[in-house]
Amino acid sequence: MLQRISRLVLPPAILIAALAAYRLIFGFASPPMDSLRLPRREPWPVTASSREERVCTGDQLAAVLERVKPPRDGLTSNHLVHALRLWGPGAEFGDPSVTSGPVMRDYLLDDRVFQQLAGEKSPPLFYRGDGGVDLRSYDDAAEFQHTSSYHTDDVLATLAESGVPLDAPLHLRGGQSRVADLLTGSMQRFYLGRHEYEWSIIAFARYAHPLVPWRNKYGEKIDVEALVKELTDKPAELGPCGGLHRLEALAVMYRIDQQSPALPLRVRQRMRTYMKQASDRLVRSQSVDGYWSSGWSKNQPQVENSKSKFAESTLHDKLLVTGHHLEWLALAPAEVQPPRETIVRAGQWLTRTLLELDAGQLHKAYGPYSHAARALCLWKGVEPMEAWRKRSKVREQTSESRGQRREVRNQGTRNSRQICNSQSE
Amino acid sequence: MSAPFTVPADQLPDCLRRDYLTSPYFPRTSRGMLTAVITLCAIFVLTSFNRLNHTDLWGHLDFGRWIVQHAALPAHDPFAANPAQAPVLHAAWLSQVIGYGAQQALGNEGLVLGHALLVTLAAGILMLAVVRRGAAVRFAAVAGAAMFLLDLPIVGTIRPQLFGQLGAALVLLACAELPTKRHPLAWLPLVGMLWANLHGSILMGLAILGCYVLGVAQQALRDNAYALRKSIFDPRLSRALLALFLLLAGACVNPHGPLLLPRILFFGEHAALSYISEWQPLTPKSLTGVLLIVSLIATACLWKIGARRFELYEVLLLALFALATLSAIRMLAWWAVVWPWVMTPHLAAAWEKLRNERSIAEPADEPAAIHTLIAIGCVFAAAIIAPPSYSLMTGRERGEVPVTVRETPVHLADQARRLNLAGNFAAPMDWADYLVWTSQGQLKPLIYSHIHLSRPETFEDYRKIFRGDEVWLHTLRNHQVQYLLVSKERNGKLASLVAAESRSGLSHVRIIYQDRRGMIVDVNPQAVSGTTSGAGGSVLDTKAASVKPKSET
Repeated sequence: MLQRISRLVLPPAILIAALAAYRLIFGFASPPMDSLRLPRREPWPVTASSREERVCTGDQLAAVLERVKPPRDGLTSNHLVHALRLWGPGAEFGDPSVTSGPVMRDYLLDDRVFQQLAGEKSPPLFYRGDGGVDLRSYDDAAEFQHTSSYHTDDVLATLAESGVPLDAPLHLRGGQSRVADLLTGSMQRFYLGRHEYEWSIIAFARYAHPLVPWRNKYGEKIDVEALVKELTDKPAELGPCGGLHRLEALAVMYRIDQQSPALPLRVRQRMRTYMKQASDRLVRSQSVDGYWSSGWSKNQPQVENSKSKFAESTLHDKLLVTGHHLEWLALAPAEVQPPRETIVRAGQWLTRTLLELDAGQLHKAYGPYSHAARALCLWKGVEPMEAWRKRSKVREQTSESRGQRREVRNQGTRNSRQICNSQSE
Repeated sequence: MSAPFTVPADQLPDCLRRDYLTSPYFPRTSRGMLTAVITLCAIFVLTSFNRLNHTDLWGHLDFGRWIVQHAALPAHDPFAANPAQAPVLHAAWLSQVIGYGAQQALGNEGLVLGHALLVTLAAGILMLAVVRRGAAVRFAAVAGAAMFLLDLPIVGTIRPQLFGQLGAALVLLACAELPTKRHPLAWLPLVGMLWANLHGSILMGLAILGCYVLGVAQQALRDNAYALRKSIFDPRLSRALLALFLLLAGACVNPHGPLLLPRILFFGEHAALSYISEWQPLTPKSLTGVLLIVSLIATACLWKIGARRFELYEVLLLALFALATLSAIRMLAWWAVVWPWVMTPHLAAAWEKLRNERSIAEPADEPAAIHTLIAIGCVFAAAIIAPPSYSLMTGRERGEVPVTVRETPVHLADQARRLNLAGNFAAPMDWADYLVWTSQGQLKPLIYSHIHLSRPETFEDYRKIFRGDEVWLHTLRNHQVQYLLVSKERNGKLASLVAAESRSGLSHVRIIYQDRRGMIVDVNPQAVSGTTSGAGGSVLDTKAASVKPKSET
């Protein structure tokens, strides 16, 4: 009887013991992949890689900046994100009707400030969802789109660009959190194949470089190679703002990796090649006046004539594309830069146009134009606030006149003509 | 060069020769049994690599959840946006509840594990049935492997039909046992009762047993020199008839009673089912077709070798299920069970004949304790190789995407959940079940994979929408659909129409989420507020925001 019982019991007992031992040894030995590791408290800074004084004069830049101060009215979350990105959290304009840097930053960090600007009835910008702290997106509630996050993770990327540390408190409506929670929530929600991923990647690079592979909430493994593939595998102009934020994300990732090398060589090579190809295309497709428009990736020089598609490009389109290109090029590594003449021509066209642009139009598309102004600051190697303050001091000393402004414009035109002439020579 | 150091076996030290395993307290296993264990482990591991299919699995789980939550069976379709009010056929309610219970207890890994275990169990019972028919144990492994191979086109999908296959294997085991044993008469009614509540394929069990009864009747007639009266009272026939009656009696214990059987019989007559691939006739170029043809060729070869006489019930079973498979692909599930059961003894006999002809010695198959140890090792290896058992053992769930097939709209469903969407929606039929599942039934599909519950005209409208007919938007509005989910890969035309409509600025539709694979569209968007009424003293300008195109920010 005992023998029979033993024969019946022993095999399953051995099996169960072996499985239990396996669980003990391997089940707890290595940490699960979904535990996100954030190596730094502060975001990685990325400054301009090169300077080019000739994009505009100091006075021109100051005049441009005067025009792209945070809008006094018609303010939206998107305006604030762009304004904070341009002016930084320390901005003070000495004018209570213009939102200051600290208020812009706190709008994105503190629901009390958010409510002051967005109204008490506006749903909060942040909320705690089942995947951690989440942002109310543009499409969540049609009625409150203007107070939402316009692009996936644009707020997080802006906080990173503004130097907000991961342990900065996040005051939710009825709760407390930290920026780190927003980041980990975003990393958990991130998946390959999303419609918008550029700002997410910028935020991940700035806050979590070197990126250790992680599993998102769906169980998918995400690594830096997959992120770079996502940025480089699509047609050049696919995505928000004509796909130009992908180039910005690549430039940011690359520059951070230069500060602390961690990317595999082939990934770095892939990024460099993609940026260089884009840069080469920009040289070929630049218009005589210096701008680019959508269609820049087609490798064709843009000659203004009634038959070409280019002739249909709106001024807004040209400003959007040229501003974004100059911005990422300012951040891009030196080895992918186009000839300086390309930058100078584009910068001067941008300056001239921003100064001539109707104020109403400028307000309507504050976002793209703030990118253009930021691009000019990056190329000049100056902080926007610093450049604008200088201008303010000058303005206090001398009365501003229309003629003065015209002079600035004329100066820009002369500069660009000089460049064109020198090129044609 | 020095000569290699060798020692005769009998001169080895005692510590090396001692066999601690062989003991009356430790079981010994033959090579044949070890092969059978290895085969079952392989079946378990291979099946466990299948991901949860996106088709009707989630629909069944939806029903399971509904039944558990309401402690009742739904009289009508509880999920569809515009249900047809046709009564629901409750032929699978028990498997729906079991599936839901497994999902709740062990998550999606539990479903994958259940799938692998169910297929392994069915293969194991079939192998036992083959052994009971007189084939050597080592041939049982062939039967298991043949079942798995023939099942390939359908075994990857977890669904109530797997319970049906298990039932079929049990009925075949009963057929194998009935000539010599009475115990099947005790458990066949239970099999019938469970099968009738687990899956509507109970008719297959009755057909298998019916063929067996006919075969036994023919045997009885033949053995009794075709004396009808004597044959009727032949104990073999009486037992077979009793078994058939008991299975039938058991099958009548279900929510519909005996009426279940005719209702199952006419189940396939819904016109919309003809659009489902598994209900379509078999084509020779498909994997199903190739497998059927190969198995038929093997049958012909073994028939020609003629090592074992084909009984009438065997011929009837082969003919019935081959014809059934020709008529509908889904019938391969039964061919995969019946064919190995019928043919493995013939294969064993053919091998025996060949061995005798060529005087090949029968390999020794002395049971040994080491085989038992190897078998335990195989089971252990299978448990840690198979993803679901590994995940459950180590407490590391793989997550939704690695467990489900690529077509499952995991990300879109998560967005729908995040946006708390509720109301009527239209989605590709195979996405809809999953969306109902993840939204806890808040989303009501126009059509989902239980198309037999829908109105034919609704199904026709569904086809119009996803073909991208001109009337797509009108049709959606007619059905009071609030949300549309479009697969960019499969509904390219509709996706383009939606994008164009969304860009038109006429506020007819609004894309509320999209990724590379699909989009969620609000078909009836409320106009974006152009006033500050909702902003509550906001200094932010809603008017300016409402006109700003997002793509240019």
